[in-house]
Amino acid sequence: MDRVIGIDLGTTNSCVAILEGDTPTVISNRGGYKTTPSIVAVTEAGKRLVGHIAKRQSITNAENTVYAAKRLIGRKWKSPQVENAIMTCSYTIVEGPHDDVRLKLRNKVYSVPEVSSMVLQEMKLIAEDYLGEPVKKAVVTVPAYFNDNQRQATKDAGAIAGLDVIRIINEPTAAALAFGYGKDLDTSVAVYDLGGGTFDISILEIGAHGVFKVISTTGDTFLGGEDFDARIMDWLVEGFKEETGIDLRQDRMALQRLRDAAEKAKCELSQLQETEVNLPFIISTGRNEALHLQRVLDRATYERLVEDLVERTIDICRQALVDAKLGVKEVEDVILVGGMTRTPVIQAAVSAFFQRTPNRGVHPDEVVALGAAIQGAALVEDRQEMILLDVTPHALGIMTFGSNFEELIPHNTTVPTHRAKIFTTSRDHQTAVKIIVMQGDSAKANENELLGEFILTGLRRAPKGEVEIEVTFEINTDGIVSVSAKDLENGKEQSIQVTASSGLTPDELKNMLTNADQYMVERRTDDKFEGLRQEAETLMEQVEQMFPEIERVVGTADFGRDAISKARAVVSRTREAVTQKDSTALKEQVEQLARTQRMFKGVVARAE
Amino acid sequence: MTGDDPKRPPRPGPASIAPSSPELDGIDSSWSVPADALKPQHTASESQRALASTLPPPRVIPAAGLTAVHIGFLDNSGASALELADLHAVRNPSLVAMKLMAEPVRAAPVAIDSIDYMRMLKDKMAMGDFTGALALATGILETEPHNPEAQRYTVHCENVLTQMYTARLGSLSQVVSVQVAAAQVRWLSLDHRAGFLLSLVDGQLTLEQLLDISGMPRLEALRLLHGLYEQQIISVS
Repeated sequence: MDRVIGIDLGTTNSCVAILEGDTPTVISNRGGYKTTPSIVAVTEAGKRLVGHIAKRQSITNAENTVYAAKRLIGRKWKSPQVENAIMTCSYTIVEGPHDDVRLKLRNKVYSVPEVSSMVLQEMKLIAEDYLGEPVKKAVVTVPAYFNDNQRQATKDAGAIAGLDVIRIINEPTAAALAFGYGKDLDTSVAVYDLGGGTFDISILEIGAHGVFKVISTTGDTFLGGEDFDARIMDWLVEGFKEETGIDLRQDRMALQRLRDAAEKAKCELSQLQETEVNLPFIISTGRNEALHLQRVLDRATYERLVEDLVERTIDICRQALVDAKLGVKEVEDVILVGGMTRTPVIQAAVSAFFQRTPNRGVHPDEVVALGAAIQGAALVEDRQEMILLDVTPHALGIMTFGSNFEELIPHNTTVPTHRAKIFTTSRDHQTAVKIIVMQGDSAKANENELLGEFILTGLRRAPKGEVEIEVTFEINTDGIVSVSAKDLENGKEQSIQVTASSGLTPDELKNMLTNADQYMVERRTDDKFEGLRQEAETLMEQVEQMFPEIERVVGTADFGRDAISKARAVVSRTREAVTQKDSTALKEQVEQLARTQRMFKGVVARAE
Repeated sequence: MTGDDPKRPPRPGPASIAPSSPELDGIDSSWSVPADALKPQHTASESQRALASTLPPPRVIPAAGLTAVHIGFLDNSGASALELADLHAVRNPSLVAMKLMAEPVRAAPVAIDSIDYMRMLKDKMAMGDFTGALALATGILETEPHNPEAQRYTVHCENVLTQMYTARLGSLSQVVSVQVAAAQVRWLSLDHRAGFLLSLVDGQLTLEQLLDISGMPRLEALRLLHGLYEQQIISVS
C-alpha cells in the first residue's frame, strides 16, 4: 500500500509527517529541524535554494528570495492581496497570462504553484530520505478561508512536485484531528494559530462520530512571528543608533544578522528571563572601524515591545466568537498552533481571554502536519470513522439586484450536492438576465470571488417579478460546479461549468512537471556524486598513507614499482574525475581505489 | 624593505616586463611567485608616484589594532609597499590572511590615465600579484567599462585567484566550523564582511553553501573565507 505523507504547507514554515503504526510522527529534515522555512531563492549562479539555507540569505539576496508565496497562491492579479504584496514584497511580482500572478527570480519567471512546488518537493525529499522509498501521495493542509482556486493551485503545486494530493484539508481541522486522535470527543474547540507570517483563529465543533465542522474562521494574513522579530530588530537598531549614530538598516549584511539574532532572542525568551544579543563586527564605520553590537534583552522589555501585537490577536479571537455565535465559556478546549504560541505572554493572553488553560497535549509546530498524516493514512486504509468529508470551503451563490449575494450552497456543505432556487426579474419588460456566479461568505457580492457568468435570453416581456427563473447549482464529486438557469415558463435554459483554476493551463502544468522532474534527476545525481566523492576522498587518503610502507616493502622489485606507479595513476585519475564532476568515471576509480587498498593491505600483512 | 641594489642591472621599464601580447592565452596562469620577484627590482614610474599621492595614509582598524598598508606607500626603491607585502605574503600565508582581512579588493583611484594603470597592471601580473592586478583592472573598468583588455585581465585574475583560494581551502563540499570560542570572536582582527561570513558558519553548511548565501561576489567571499581559514578562525572538514 502506498504511504501517504501529511504536509503542513505553511506561509513561513512547512512540516511533513507520517503515520507509523498508529503513531503520527513528524519527520526531521537533514539539518535535524522538524520544520523547514517555506522560502525559495535563486543564487547569482542560478542555483536553487530551499528552506533554511534560503532563509539565511533572504536579506542579502532579497530580490531573488520568495517568502510567503502562500499569500499569493491561486490569487487573481488584481486582487487586493496581490496589490498589497506588490507594495511590501522584496521580490518582483508580475502579471501572468491568465490574470494570475507570476514571480520573477533572476531572469526567469515562475508561477506561484511552481514556487510552492519547490517547497513541497523538499518536504517529499525529506520524507523519502527518512522512509528510504519514493513517496507519491500526500494530504496537504490549507487555511480554512482558502477558496477553490487557491485549493486547486495548491493541488497543482503538489502535482508539479510529483505528488498526488489525494485530499486538501483545512489547517484547523487537521489540528483538531490530531488533537482528537484516539479520543471520542464531542466538543467545541478554538484553534489559535499564530504562525510566522499569519494569524488564524477557528472555532470548530468536533462531533461524536468524527465530524469536524469549522463554524467560524478569521484571521490576519499579515500578522505573525516575523512582526515580533521586527520589534526586537527595531529595538536593537535604535539602541545601536543611540550609541553610535549608525543606522544598521542601511546595511544588508547587518540586517540579515539582526533578523537571525532577533528570532533567536525571541525563542530564547520563551524559556529564559533574559538573553544577550551579541553580534561582533556588525558594521564598519567610515574609518574602517569594525563595531560590535551587544545588548541584553529581558522578557519584560520584550513583552512591552509586542504588547499591541498580542492584543491584536485577542481582538480577532473576539470576532471569531461573534461569528460563531458562541460565548467564551462555550469553547471547551483551546488548541495552540504555531511556534509563536510557545511565548509565555501569548499563552497568558489566550488563557485570560478564553478563561481556560490552553491544551498542552499537542505540539504547536507539528500538530497540523500530524493531522494531515492521520487523514492520509485513514484515506488509504479506508478507515471511515476518521475520514473527513469533502465540504465547500465557502458559500456558492449568485449576484442579485443591488449587488447583493444570494447564497445557494452554504459553506461546509458536503459534496456532491445540488441546490435550486427560484428568482424573478427585477425590471419591467426584462428579456434577459445575467447570472453572475460567485463564491464567498459576504452578503455583499463585490466582496466575494467571481467564478463565472452567463446570460439567459428570450424571457417573456412582462412586469418585474412576474417571470420566474430557476437557478440550480450542482457540485459533483470532482468539485466541478455546474450552474444552470431555466425560464420556468418557456423551458429555455442556459448553463455554465466552473472548474477551480490555479491560473495554469494543462500545457503549462505539463512543462513545469517536466522541469521539476529534470531538477530532481540533477539533484539526485549531485547527491550520488557527493556520496562517491566522499568515499573517494577517504580511499585516496588511506592509499596515499600506505605508499611509504609499500615502497619500503616492495619498492625495489619491478612489480612493486609498477604497482605503486599504477596506484598513483588511479589516485590521479580519481582526482581528475572529482574535478570534472564525472560520476561514471569516479565510480570506476573508486572501485579501482578499493581494489588497490585491499591489495596494499595484503602486501603489508604478508610482509609482517 | 630594501633600497636599490647598485650591483643589479637596471630593470627594463614596465612595458617590457608585461606580456608581449595582450592576449590572455599568452599569460602565465600560475600564481606562484618567481623567486627573483621577492626583491624590489624597478624604479617607481611617474604613474606610481602619482598614484601614491592620491592615497590616504596607513590606517588602523581599532577592533584589532592591526595596521593595514595602502597601495602606493612607496619605499626608496619605488616599489609599492602593497606589492612587497603581497610578494612576501604569498610566501607567508598568515600574512596573506592578515592583509586579506584588513584590505578588501578596492578599485584604484582614477587620477591617472588608464594607459599607466594598464602598465602597472601588467607589472603586477608579471610578478604574480593578481590581487593588485585585479584591483587595477577593476579601477580601469570603472572609468572605461568596455575596455576589452581590462575585462580580459579581470576575468583572468578572478579565475587565478579563485583557483588559488580553492586550492588552499580544499574541496568546496567540506563543512565549515568555527574554531574560536564565541566570547573571543570580538577580539579577532576582522572587518564586518568577514564578521558576517563568520556569523553564517554553523557547523553544518559547506564552503559551497556559504559562498551561495554570502550575498557577496564569489571571489570576495572566497577570499574572506580563505582569510578566516588561514587565521585558524574556521576549519574545514
